[in-house]
Amino acid sequence: MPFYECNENQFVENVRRLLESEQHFVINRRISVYDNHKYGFSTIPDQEFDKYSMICDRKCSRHTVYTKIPFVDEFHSRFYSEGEVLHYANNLNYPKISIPYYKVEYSFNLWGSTYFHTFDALFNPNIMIEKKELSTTSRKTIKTKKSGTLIHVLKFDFPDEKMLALNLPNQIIIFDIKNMVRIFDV
Amino acid sequence: MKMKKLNVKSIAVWIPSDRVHTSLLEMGFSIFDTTTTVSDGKFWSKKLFIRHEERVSVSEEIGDVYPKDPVITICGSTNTINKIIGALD
Repeated sequence: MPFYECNENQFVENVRRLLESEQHFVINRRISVYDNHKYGFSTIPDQEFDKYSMICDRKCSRHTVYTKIPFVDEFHSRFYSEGEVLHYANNLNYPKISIPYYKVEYSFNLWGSTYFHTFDALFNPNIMIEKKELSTTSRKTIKTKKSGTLIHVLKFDFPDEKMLALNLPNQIIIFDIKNMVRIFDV
Repeated sequence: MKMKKLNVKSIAVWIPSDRVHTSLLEMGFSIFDTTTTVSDGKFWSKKLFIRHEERVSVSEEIGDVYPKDPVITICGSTNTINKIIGALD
């Protein structure tokens, strides 16, 4: 069974052609959350890095990223002190802070072939100052026993559901699925 | 209220995304949200415009890339699709 990968433009246009030819088909959609160190602060482009510039700094893309101020990464429940390295230039595959994302996969089957389009939607950073309870002994985890301190907090907001969807007409049937099993004929 | 029959169309254009945004805003669309997506190994800034049940997304590659060719995906009436394509000619 061949699998054909399409970009957004190709996938949507293929769907449009199928609609015009009055073919009956179902589109499958799988949305999964990942936080697997695929995206780190050093490897994202400048326009995306600017969203984090309040708390960290780098010379340019693919360079080492340092914290500018102490902050708490609420998503991973970790505290980072000033000057700490968040992403080493010589270890780009393993950032200390991983940017979470949704992996969205659209596919449909036609005459035994599968046509698919995938994209990742990054979570949006939301940096604010909050009163947090920090442990003085372990700076890596957040405890609730010590007195509260005002500190910058990095949160990750997930993208709106509409941003994860391809713009397809309502008459198209979309099935949300958990997994797709690929069977190869021997 | 009877729902309009919506069609779908996706085009890649060779004009700056700012001009696309302006055209959509002039046609009565409003920005719903912006998010960063990654596909084909490239980072894209995706803006979603909404007017009633019609939706238009404009994805432009992020960074110093040339040429910029934003991908516009329209889910709207035939009239709306023609108007958008006409405005971008």
